[in-house]
Amino acid sequence: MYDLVGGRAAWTVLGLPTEGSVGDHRRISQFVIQPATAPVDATIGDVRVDTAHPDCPVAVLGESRVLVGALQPTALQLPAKSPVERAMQPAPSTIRPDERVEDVLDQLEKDHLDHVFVTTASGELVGLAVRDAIHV
Amino acid sequence: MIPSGVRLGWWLSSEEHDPRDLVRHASLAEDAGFETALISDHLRPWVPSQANAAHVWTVLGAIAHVTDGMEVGIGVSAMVHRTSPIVLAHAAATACVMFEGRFFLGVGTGERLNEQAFGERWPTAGERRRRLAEGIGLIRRLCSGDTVNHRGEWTVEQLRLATLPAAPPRIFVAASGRRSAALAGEIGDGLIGVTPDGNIVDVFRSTSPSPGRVVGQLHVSLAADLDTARESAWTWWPHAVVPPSLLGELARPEEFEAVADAIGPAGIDKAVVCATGAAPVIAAIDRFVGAGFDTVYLHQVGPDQARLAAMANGELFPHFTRRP
Repeated sequence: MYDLVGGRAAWTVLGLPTEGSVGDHRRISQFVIQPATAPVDATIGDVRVDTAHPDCPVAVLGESRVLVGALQPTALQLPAKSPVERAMQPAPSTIRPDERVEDVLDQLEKDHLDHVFVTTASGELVGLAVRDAIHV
Repeated sequence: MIPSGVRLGWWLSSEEHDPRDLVRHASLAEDAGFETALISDHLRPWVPSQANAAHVWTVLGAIAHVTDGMEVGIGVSAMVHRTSPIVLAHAAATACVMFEGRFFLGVGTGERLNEQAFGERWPTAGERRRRLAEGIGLIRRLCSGDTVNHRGEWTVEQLRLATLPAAPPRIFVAASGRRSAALAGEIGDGLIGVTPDGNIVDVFRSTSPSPGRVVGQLHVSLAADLDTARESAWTWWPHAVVPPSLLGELARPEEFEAVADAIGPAGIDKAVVCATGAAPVIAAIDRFVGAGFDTVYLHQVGPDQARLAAMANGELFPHFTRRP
């Protein structure tokens, strides 16, 4: 059960279910994977990659699961005590969950990218859109 | 010794050092424990105060002679006006033979600084990328022993190199933007970057059928005190404050000097890690590795090269060596 507070646009930006001609089955929020995550105050020794997607970045999260950075798998080569905050790429590129799947695939191809983080308008992690994992 | 989890390399700056010193620095690096080094290829220094720009292939011959196991690459050569794919393939093939498999070639779209002397028009970035892409293909064919006949951006008439390596050189492509990173992924064996930018690494990996190494250059200025470190950075590497969009576009060392002077030294320690100890250097390396780089080449700015060798041997290698 959800309360519609911010209007239809706010609802869809949150990736919440919709019906009708703008049905949810083509929104990127329905096609994301859940990437490995690490708290921003963790150390490299605490980080685990997603074995199903070992080349994907680790999402570094702050309070309320807000995405604050990305860590490439190479970071696991660092000494275990290295702070995640020091190694992460701050403020990675993100898209909103209500983006149409076709638009996201087109943009990823245009940008020569395999993946992009999906966050709500307030920055909370929704998932990772991975080109090879999207079958529409 | 267990291999280091993070590979550290030594950057030999042709712009700053007498060629005989570069050869000594290569020995110093190998003796300090570095497994890999990169040497820059310049026709002119970035700024007049650097006062050097030796012919890099000549220096490489001497480095091949004084080193035994250290991998050495060139970072980077361009194919615009100064060097054609024929000349580069010829030189790279010979370097591969001299280094007995320890050599790799770094290429890029070049800087006007090193091309303007030929009096030709400075091509657009797109034109330079096309020349680079075609040139890489020609170098691969020539270094593989093919007889090459080609007309396009470059012309090659009935050439087969006589001195050939056992295997053609790996070719790394320098990139600071998405288009060059995509080119590196599509036709390169590795990527060379100068900033810890995870976006270009992502582009490289997503466009490469089998992504190779991703190597970065980190400028450091190590000294006994911070003021001296900053002063050395500003004396020897002032163009670090020049906006990246201008680096490829200015034609003369005096222009880089004028722009750097206009900007002033206040931001030098944002572009060069000025430090007295290892901690800031380790933090900067962490940032490169977190962005997807597997090798970080350390460029100690200025003449005090022994200080980097000592720090690497005493602190950096022990820190980054992976323990069971």
